[in-house]
Amino acid sequence: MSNSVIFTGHVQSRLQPEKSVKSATSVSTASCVYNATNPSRRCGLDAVTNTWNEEQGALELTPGSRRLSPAMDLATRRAQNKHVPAVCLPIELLERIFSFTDISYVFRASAVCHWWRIAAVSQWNMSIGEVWRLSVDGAYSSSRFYNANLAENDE
Amino acid sequence: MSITIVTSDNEQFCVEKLVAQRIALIEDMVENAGDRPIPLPNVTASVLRKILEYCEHHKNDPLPPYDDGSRSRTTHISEWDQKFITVDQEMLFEIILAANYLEMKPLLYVRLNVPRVQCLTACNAVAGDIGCKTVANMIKGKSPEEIRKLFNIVNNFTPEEEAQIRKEAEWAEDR
Repeated sequence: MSNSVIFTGHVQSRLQPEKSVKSATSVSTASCVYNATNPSRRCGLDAVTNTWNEEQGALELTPGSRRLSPAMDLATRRAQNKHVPAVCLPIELLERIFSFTDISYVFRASAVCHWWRIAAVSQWNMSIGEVWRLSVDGAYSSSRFYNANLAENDE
Repeated sequence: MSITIVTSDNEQFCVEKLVAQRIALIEDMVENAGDRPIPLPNVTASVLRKILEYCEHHKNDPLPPYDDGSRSRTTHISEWDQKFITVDQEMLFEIILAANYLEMKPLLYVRLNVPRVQCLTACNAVAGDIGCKTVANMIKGKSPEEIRKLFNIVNNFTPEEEAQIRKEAEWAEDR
């Protein structure tokens, strides 16, 4: 299944192709806002977009497409993931899933996508916290450093 | 005694109260609803059917050990559970989400009157966890790219994140 989003036909949005954006750079911000918010002008802008689409072909929003700005490309890819069940899980459930794997798989999971990375880093921190807690409860608590610290704190 | 549950797609289920009480959310609702049907707007009939099938099968299971998170977690899934969870990916994730939403807990905790917080912490043998274990088993031994392919996930990292991941991978290889 292709992950591309294709704008075809006549659009009603204010999404402008690069060509139109370039030609609008010389116009003042105030007039841009006016053009975008004024309904009659907006229809005019949509007509420009439609003409551009008819002449240049539909604007294909494929991840990695050269026609998209990096920000737009990223937004498109993030939007695509919103419909993926594995990415729709809340963080605590992803953490739960990762808790059933070794830390090496949590590390790999952190390189899958943005949302999984957040969950994996959180799970990783919990695991590190656990190691720290065990070391504090176990070896560290019986060490001379721990006893020295205790003595210092008592003073 | 039985209670009626209505799913998001308006299907009614008549469930034995003891089985339904395994689901914490329903248990709370039963007290307030009286004889009226209990609505579950976030669960579809197909998912609830699966979850009730699980509850029915496990209703006499012994109390699972208390899990304070310090013990290593096993990904072993019993034969029946394995068959139960052999579903398509969409259903698998829906079961995980629904079990989490319904706050499922082992039936015996109801009988023993274990405090709610402890019930939820100790709830490690429910349908949701079978789902989580299944997903964990699916990602084991796979590279990030293979995981993306398996779940249809799109790589949506920023260039900065990509650079960071590359650095981390290099660091891991050195170890």
